[in-house]
Amino acid sequence: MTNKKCPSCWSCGMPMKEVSNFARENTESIYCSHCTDSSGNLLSYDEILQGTINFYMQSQGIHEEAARTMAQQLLASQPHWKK
Amino acid sequence: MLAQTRKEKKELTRLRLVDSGLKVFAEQGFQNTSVDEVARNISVSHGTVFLHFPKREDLIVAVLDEFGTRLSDAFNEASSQKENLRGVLKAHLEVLEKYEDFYSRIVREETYLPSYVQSLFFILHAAVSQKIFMSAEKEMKTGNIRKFDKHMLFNTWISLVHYYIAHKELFAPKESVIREKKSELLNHFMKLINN
Repeated sequence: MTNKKCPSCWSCGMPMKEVSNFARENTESIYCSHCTDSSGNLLSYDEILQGTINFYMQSQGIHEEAARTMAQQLLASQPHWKK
Repeated sequence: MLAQTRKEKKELTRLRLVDSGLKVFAEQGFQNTSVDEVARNISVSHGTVFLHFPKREDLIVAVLDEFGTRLSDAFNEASSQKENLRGVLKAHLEVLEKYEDFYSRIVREETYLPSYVQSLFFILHAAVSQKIFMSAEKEMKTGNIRKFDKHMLFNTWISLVHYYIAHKELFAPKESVIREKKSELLNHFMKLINN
């Protein structure tokens, strides 16, 4: 999922357009602010997965299991988690 | 050096195939289009397509991926300067109008598409929902609009828009349904949520 206009997070794929989207507001970072802690370190897979699940559930009110399947698929397609 | 040139050429063919997919799927829909038709459109052989996309699904996923990127870039761009919810919703409609041919194919054929493609479409909506709510939240605080949960605000909006897109031939034969109806849809939705 390459993004031609702006970089996207290597962990969750979120486009990073604003400085605040980047980990520690560092535009050199390949990860977004959601996937990292306050020191800029990548969170664990489980934490990121749960965050993504919550995002999907809240955005459209879907069932947790459906959100989980989708979040797993999405993360598996991103550079950091790709096997 | 030669290897790089070959690699670049290969990548270029891949991009051309994806571009062709965007055009041909938009014109004919997913179900009525074979991989060969997408290839023929740019005079590429069956063997070459197979090299890039061994399965039909692979091509559809690549095309949808590209479409998702373009749509979300366009929406982010169009909504970034908008100061209120109405502006963000209007930006959403303008982007959908621009991409209506392809977008309407997804809306109408979604259930027949591979599950991964359905997920991509949904994920795209999650980002739109988030953006709409960020703008709505401010106006909920000031009392301009009534209070709604994020998912219900978005689901109500997208249901309305998708209903018109799904039946575009009935609402606006041979025209862009969004272009024809956007003021009416926007005015109606704002009337529903305004305090």
